[in-house]
Amino acid sequence: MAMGSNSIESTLDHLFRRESGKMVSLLTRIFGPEHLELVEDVVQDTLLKALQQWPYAGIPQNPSAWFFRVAKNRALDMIRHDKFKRRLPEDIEDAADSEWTLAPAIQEIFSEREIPNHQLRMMFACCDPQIPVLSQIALSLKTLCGFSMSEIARAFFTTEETIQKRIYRAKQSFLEGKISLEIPVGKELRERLQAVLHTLYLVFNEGFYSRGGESIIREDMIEEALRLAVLVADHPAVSSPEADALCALMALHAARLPARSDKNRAFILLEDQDRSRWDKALIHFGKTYLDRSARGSELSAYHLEAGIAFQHAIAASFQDTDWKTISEIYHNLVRINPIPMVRLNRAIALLHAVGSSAALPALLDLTEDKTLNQAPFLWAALAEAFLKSNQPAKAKQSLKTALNFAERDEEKSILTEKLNRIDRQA
Amino acid sequence: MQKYMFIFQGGGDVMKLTPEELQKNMQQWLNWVDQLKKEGTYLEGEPLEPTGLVVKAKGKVITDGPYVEGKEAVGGYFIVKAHSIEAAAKMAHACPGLEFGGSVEIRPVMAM
Repeated sequence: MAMGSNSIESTLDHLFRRESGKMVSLLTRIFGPEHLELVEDVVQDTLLKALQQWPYAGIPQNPSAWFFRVAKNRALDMIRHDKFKRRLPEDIEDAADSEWTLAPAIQEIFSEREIPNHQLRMMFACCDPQIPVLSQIALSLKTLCGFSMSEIARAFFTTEETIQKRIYRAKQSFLEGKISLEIPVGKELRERLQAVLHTLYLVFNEGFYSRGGESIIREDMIEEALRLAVLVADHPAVSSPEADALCALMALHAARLPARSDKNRAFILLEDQDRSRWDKALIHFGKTYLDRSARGSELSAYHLEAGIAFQHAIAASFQDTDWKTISEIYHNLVRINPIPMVRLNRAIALLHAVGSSAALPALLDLTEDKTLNQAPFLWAALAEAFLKSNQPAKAKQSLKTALNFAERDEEKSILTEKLNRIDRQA
Repeated sequence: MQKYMFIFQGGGDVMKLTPEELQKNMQQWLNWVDQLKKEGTYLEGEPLEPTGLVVKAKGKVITDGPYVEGKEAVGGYFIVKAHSIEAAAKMAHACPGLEFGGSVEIRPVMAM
């Protein structure tokens, strides 16, 4: 074997998972969306073959090409000897009439430059409006990214059964022949594109913000969401400023990941992060997409969120952050998306930009909101505002309320530390 | 040193593994072979196709032999060197297939 075990590990990072995502997209193009289960079987067989051969033969020079070759031959075999006489997509059906046309047609589908097209088609199919949003997310993660149901369940902090149900619902639409692999055009394209971007945005958020679930899988999800968003943004058929903005927002947030937790994977707040550990390449990448997103006439929520993330990314320290600009962007964001969470973030930005006089009323207002008033971070923000206005007693009271609502140890220890800090300063 | 054949049987539980788990198992196999090669105990080995024929009574061919579905389906073999059958068995305990319902049959290669 040419490679040592260590180098193998790094070259093969998530190889099986990623390649299975690609293969599902390709094979679905060949067999049609209604044969998704068959497609998944072919992919599994291909992975099993690698498990059987590679330990003996070593890892192929180009593992991706190896997978494609095996999957392609298996697909050809199945079409040649189809006992069930499945109905295939029309062009494949026509090509299958003769060996002279079949092999080249399949070869064409498997060609390197076609891969993004297949993945894009599959992404649009998974986000078909006939499928409920939660099922879209679960199916996308499974088919496009190769995540297993248990991995998705662990990342979403839910049971495998729940994920199974969601995927089942989505798959039914596929198997019943309701889903097309055609990328829509015109108005329908815009709507579907929004659904695709929204799904990717939700996957990213789940990976980035949820504290539950397994952190390693959540980081993989962040990476996958960004990878697919870039695929959409860079594809000439569907590229849009909105997709660029989404890429920027993901990259600029993801850049902070290396500094966001310590050795024990405990969470570190933005204000306490060692900014030298932020991923500069990702920040640069995000900036490139942010620049690119500044075209067209529409300013989407992704644009604004990316703008905020960019301000954080370029600030030398928490104190040096341009809070004034950030609170202005939040002001616009509240207009597009007036949900409590955005209003809370605007209040926090105001606290740093203007001071407690501007932030306190907004925060107190939010304590009346049913969706937020049991969230520890709201009460922690309120404590911050009370501290700034020299009301340590009220700050302590708010922190105690936050502690009451906190569920995870990580959260509790951060809040306790804040309480102790006030006591030390008193 | 004596030659032994490791015959890998069963292990069908891998069929239900997720891509990530399959990759991990493949990695363990690779590492195992790697390690045996470094020790100089690995001589050769090959995987076997899951299908085949069985010839029994003269002139009679049984297709898809009875071993195909069974737990004893052979997935491949190694030829290794070891000082004793006990030492060979100790080596076989590291087989990554054991975790998934697999077993290793160890047979001394007859010295001639």
